[in-house]
Amino acid sequence: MTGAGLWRCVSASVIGSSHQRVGTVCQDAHDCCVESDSTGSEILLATVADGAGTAKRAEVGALTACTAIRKMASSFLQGNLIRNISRTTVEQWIDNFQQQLSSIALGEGLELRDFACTLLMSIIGPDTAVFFQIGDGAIVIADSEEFSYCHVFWPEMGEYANMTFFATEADFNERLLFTTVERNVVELAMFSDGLQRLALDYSNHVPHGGFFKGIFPPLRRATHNTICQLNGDLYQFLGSDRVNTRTDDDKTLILASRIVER
Amino acid sequence: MASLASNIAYTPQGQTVRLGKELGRGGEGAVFEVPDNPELVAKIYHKPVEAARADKLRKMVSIATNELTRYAAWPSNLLLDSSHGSLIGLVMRRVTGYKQIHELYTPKSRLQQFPNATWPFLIHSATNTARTFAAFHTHGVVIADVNQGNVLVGRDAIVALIDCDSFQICANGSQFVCDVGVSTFTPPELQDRDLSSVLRSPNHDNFGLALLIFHLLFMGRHPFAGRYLGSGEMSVERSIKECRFAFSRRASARQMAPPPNSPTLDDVPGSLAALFEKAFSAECAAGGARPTAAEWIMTLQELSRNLSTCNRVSAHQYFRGLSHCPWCSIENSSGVLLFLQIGRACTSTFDVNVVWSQILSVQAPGPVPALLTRSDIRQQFVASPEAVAAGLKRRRRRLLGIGIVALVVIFCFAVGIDIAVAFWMTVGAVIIAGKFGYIPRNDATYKAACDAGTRKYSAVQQQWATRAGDATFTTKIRELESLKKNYMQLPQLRIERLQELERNRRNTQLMQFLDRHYIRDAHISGIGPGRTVLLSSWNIDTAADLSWQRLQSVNGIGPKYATNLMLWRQKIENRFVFDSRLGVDPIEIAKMDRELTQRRTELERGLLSGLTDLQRVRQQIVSARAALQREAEGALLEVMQAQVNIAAS
Repeated sequence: MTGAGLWRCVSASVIGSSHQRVGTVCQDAHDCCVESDSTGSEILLATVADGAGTAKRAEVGALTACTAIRKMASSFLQGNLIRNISRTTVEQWIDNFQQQLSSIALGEGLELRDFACTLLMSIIGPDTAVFFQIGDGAIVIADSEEFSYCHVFWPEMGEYANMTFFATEADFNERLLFTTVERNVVELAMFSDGLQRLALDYSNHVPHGGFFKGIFPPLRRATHNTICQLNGDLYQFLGSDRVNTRTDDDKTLILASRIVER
Repeated sequence: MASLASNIAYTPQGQTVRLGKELGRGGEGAVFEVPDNPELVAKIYHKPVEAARADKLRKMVSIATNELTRYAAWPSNLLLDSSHGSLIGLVMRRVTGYKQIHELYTPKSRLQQFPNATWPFLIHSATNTARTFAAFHTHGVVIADVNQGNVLVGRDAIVALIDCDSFQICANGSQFVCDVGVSTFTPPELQDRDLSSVLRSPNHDNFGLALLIFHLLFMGRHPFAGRYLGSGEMSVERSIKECRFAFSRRASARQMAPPPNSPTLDDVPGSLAALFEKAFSAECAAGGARPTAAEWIMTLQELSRNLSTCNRVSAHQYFRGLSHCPWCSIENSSGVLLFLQIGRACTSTFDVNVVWSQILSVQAPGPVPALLTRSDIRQQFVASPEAVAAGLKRRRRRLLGIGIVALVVIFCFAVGIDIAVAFWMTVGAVIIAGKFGYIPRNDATYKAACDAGTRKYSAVQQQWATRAGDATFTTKIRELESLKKNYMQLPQLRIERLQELERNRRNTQLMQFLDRHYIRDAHISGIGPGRTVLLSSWNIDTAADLSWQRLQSVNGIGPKYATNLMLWRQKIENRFVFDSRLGVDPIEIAKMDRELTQRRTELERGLLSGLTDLQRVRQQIVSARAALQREAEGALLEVMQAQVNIAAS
């Protein structure tokens, strides 16, 4: 298996200072795991969902989105390859997810929009990767050819600054961004809108090189035994004043790096 | 056991007690079977019993009653090393098959130890706990060291107390105080105090009783472990001392909020909520009387009689006064299963084929028919008498006018007067005739009626396509078809889910392995009893529950402690070895089946209500068609009548 290697991942969702003050819970959720597909290749599945601040049970929506979509993706990959994942496949997953959520909503006497959340997912294999996104937040990747960081989709903005699109809406497929990339993706960063201002350079419409060039090297050097500590550091970083002075929103960051055999 | 020569001990009354198999061994003594009485055990101390201790044990035996020995491992007799020798141990009730109460109230261990326990069982256990406390208090015994380890619960919800030799006894003028206590169960007024110098009262016990009942009813939550909204650290002990009851209706005044995914005081009857509010209040910390065991028993029994069963999950029972099942919401948002009834047969009388044939028998209203037009109106129209009279009068006058002019013209010709004079006479006759002979057509009202009718008709035309169409009916049918399809796929879905469980065996085994490692039993740097209680309030009990995501939401567990916990989890995970011979865990299958049952119930309900919906939709379409056709007909008649009237007038 040339080109394939071991993924090292760290991830954290940390409550925003504004939410902590009023005693609500963190409405961001994420899921990050490494599985193997039917051919035995390692596949990274990373999901981020940001619950809408205005929705009553946004945290439930976000958590359900992450786990449900990941489960559907991994069971799809039991008999398929990444390149078989089409836009229609993803629409089907989101449709199923909405059904699951509807049944939860029904039980609580609520509606789907009370669970509104965004959705970002990356599915990365040795030579193919699929990305999709509804709403804000961003996915940034680097491939084996050159270590420059580029965004997959620029964050989706609604009509107004604080408005975005949600995976829980009936017409989600109009807002679904989907792409298949035939490249050897070796580094991935995914984050919710809480970190957009730190990680993206809005004037030049590119990711902040400095931000990513500083954050990846410790991960590349990490071993199985130090990764736990590193995750603790990430968690601490996201709750630190350095981040909190720039945003008071919940923030999620997934970082993944693959050892490349050269 | 140095003092016991053979395996025979003696009671002070001179009877011999034969000791059987050793059942257990602790720091101070060992416990043996008593072969001649299987309901008893003998506890033999390792070391000679101190005089004060011996006094206390003698006193305990002297006040032993059937009630005390039934509710506790209470010493029923002493054991001596010879018929008049020194005290070496005691005889007490054998408590077997019981579990520590925290195994019942912590949802995770409940599923393992009491897999069929539902909320009524917890309420019943709480009532029995109160009964036990009541029995002790009437005998002048204060339990003093109430904690999650010395209260046991049996399969039948019978509660028994152990470690009775630490209880506080006041009998015949002598007092034996209890100098120990568990910090998270100690009432506010005793926090940070030297317990050996305190004479405890039943009122102190009642704090512990309220705590135990709260734990049982509120899914293992500690009432004082919540989200602290202030700055700095809030330990559970400090929270107790400062009376920060996190679930109180007034909690926010004390900068507290309940932990997420917890039941609230609104989920229990007001009378019960009031007891909790009182038991954990500052007034009681200042010496006020807390609710007694008797009050709890009465209120809990009242709750037992007022329960509803959730119509989605039959293992969910809740207070009848609520509009929604609280357990559904908590299970959904926490992902933690609270109640699980394994192997409960589902008796559903639903037959999908019968319901589907009923659905199909609802006659389709069919595509939208044509709306009535003029050509459909077969009626003969007769102008109204007013219109006819007006028309007649107008025509007569017109005839009169023409007659006048004609007469003048004939007269002029007959007489043969001057042409110029004749001309002016004719002009005059025309003017006069115009004045008297011409009446304008009076049809404004008929025209208005005609316009109104036309407007009505076009309004009906506009509504026709939507209200008379069968779109709602066909959509509903399609919806039901998809429900039926999902219903028919359930067996296949179950097979797929079983395959998935099979595939995930490694992960499930790992999770179960991690689940066997309780944080409360581990020694993790910085995680004492207080933080263990805090974590438990966030549903974090075992290594399997630990994740960065979950830890970050726990107020009071910062990155430092989170890292310690995660490192501990990592250490345990490293020890895991997958056993490929083990099959899928039955609990996992039960969980899956519960989910599928819930789904099936939903689909059944959807199909049944769909049938009535479909009938209603059909009826709506049919009556809308009839009503609109009637309106259209009325409008057409109006227009046509008006047109006839206009013609006649």
